[in-house]
Amino acid sequence: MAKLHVAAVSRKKTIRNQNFTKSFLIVLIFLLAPELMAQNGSNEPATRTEQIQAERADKAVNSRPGDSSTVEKYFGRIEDVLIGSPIRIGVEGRGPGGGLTVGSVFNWSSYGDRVRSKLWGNITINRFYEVGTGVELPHVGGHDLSFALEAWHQDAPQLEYFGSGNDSSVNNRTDYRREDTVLEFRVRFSPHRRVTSSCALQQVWLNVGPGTNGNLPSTEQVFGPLEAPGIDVQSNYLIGGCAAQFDGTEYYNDPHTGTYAAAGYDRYHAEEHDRFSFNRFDAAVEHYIPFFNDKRVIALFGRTVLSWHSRDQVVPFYLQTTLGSDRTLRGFRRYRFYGENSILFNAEYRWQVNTGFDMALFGDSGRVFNKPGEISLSNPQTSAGFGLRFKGQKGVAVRFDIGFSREGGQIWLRFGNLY
Amino acid sequence: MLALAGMFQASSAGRAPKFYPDDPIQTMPPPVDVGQPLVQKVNRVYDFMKQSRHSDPRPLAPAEAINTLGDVPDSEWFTNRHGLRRMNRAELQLGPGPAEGPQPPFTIISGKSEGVSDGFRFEDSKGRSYFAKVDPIGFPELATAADVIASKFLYAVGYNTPQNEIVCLKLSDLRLSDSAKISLSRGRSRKMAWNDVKELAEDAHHYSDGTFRIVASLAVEGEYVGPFRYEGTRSDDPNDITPHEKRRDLRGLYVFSAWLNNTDTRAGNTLDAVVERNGNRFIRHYLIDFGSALGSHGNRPKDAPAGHEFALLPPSETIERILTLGLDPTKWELASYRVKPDVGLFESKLFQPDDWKSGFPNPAFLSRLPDDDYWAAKQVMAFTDDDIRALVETGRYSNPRSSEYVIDTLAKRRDKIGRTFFAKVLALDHFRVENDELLFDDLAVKYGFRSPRPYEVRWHRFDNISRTQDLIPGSGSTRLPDEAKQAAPGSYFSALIVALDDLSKLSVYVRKEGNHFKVIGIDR
Repeated sequence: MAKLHVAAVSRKKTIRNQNFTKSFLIVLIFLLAPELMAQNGSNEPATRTEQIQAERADKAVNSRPGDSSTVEKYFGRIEDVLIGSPIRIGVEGRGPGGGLTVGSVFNWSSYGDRVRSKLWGNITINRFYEVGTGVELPHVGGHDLSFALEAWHQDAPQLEYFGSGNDSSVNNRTDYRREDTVLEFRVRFSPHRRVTSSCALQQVWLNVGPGTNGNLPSTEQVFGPLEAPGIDVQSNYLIGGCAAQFDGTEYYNDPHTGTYAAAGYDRYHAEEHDRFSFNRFDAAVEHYIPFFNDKRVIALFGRTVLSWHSRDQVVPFYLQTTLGSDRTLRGFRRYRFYGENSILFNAEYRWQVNTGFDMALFGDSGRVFNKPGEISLSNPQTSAGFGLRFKGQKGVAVRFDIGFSREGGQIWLRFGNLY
Repeated sequence: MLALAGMFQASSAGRAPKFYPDDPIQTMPPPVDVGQPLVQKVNRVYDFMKQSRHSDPRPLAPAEAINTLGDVPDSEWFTNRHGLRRMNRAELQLGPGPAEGPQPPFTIISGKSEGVSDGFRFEDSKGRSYFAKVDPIGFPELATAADVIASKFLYAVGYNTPQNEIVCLKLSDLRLSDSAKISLSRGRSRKMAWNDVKELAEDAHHYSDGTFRIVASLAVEGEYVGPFRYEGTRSDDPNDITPHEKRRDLRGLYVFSAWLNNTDTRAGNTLDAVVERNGNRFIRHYLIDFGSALGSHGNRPKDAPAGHEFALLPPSETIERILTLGLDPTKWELASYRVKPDVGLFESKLFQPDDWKSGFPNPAFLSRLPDDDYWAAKQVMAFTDDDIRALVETGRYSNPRSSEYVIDTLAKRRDKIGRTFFAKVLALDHFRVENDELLFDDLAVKYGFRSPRPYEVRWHRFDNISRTQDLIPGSGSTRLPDEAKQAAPGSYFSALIVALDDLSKLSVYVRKEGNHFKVIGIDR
């Protein structure tokens, strides 16, 4: 028993000693914790400098190259392709039904930019197309004189014709094909950055034929030579003339102030049929009236095209001046009015919505007439509407207009150089 | 035991002191080696579209990359200059240097005839490389003066900028390198010819003696690794540990940009360059291209909305402007401005410092808080009228009236900045303890924006680990309480200062070091 008691006491003492040791260790750990952490936790900074250096060390471990998001990378690649690609896409209004256009221009210039050349081509979804090439000496005699020689061929298979004159009916809508092959020599002289004059000589090989729009009658089926002079026979042309322009506007491609004026004279010499020879005078004036610190603009535009010839001569319908387009009577179909002479006025009120976006309200008024002496604005064709202008660094990039007239509404969309 | 160790760690982390012994730091630690960072690309159009989606102020987050006084320590981003130690006239006008400008003849090594404004790069006779831009025809001195003046101001404030200066030259001062190339539109380029040089020169505004002005921007030292963004950090720069939208120096850039009307503050007008010192490579961050500062928009005078609204408005405002047909003009559209060809549109009457807008939203600007604005306004107010005059002279306006107008406008905008941003916080600064008294300047009073006002001061014991404060009874003045005077070195105290007129307040922290007290922190 004594042994047992001694053993029991001894066990109790051992257990008590073990409990004491445990308690002592725990207390010791608590007491020494700050010191332990100070020694063990060398990660804990002692100064602000160490704290910053520790953060940098952490980041250095996780450092990885590249910061752009995936979206930005792809965006950049697409932009590179668009900028670098020789292909351009746009709606450039090559006639009714021309529609979406895909085109390309290859430019080349020699060392010193003494010689430039280009090769271009474009086609629309309705098979209007144009191909051309040219060479230019841009700096003859210093910087003021340039010579250019260009040649191009264009085919517009669905140009619309409604008859000649201001009273033509929209119900007489027809279409015809016009093919031009042109060789042009042009001299341009710019004595001042705001003044340019030029003279040009063109050899034009013309072909007019049936239109390809199956939904419309072809022009020759509806109109005879009296209503559509030149529909029975065509002539090639030698065209020579000169023009001058003064550009007193500011901010190229998005003028807000100033005046632009241009005038030109051309002699159209019909090589095979002299009765189609005529003279043409074309003059245009633009004037911009800004207010509210240039954030509102009233843009006024006037243009007249006058043709004259001897009594036995006539301007063939395919060379007559036209009204109805994204820049003339915007409430009418393109080329709605044909005539030997025309006069046109546009007035547009533009207000800036934000830096890259303008709105516009516009009114158009114009008419075609038979003889230059009949020039007046009596009984004009009128249209009105509104438009949106999306602008980039270099001016208006996209123009969207909706025009209304007695013949309904028209939507016009034109892309400029987005890139 | 593991559980206990974890508890200790958590406990220890919770006890990180508010102030370290080396607070407040005046300089960031030396940068660590960055290695070979890649060239970062920021797509200009994408950046514009992305940032324009968010024009509202960002969630409130206090500024970082500051010391415990709320100041910005010197770093590869910012070096305290005129706001800390007044620069003299010569130093202000010199900028980053060197003092010697480009030495003719200038050999053109590349040209640019794309984009909004033409330019070229040249080497001077000493082999130094420069970027050059000209003034647009009809607007003599407009862009070149703005570029130089803004760069000198921003350098004096503390940013890294290139050495920009005005150079007048004739075509005969230029040479063309045989290997020079000119970049054209649509990503094309070709060998550059003398005709290209002549055309670039022809696009410049000329004086009657046939000379034309360029701004010659000395190429900054180092390897260029692209621009920096105004948000996030560079993932390949271990020294870049603070999200840029939280950096006080970038938030405060809003105020300097507003002052200088530098609307084109975007990532594309920044530059990161790797420099090497003693074998250690690190990135230095630059601001570049200030042609859209003051009244200039680079190639023409600024538009009336510049500085007043972003390029893209929120949809609701856009619709409102469409529907009102432009017949509800804004005040800046109605204002009568004096737009001079050489100064452009730069004014002070409509300028609202807290409502100024950069060209498009800048995430750092939209993240700023009143104490960020205060810090920057303090720097702006450090420029006296004479300082402004010295800096504007670097733009070398031919017409003294234009120079005077710019000086006067900058001075008025400066005062508006001080008046506006000193009213949004308790503008007490320059704290120091002298003769057992806490002294400070009320900047709003010092600059005459308000009359002197009474303050209440409550002293506290401050526990640097638990960050708790205990009021010391009876302490009600700027004089240190007896308890603080008798405290052991290393003791911390704080003073809560309340302006009794508008109840704005701040706390100042002092630490006893030996027998004196050091101001170590400010909570605004």
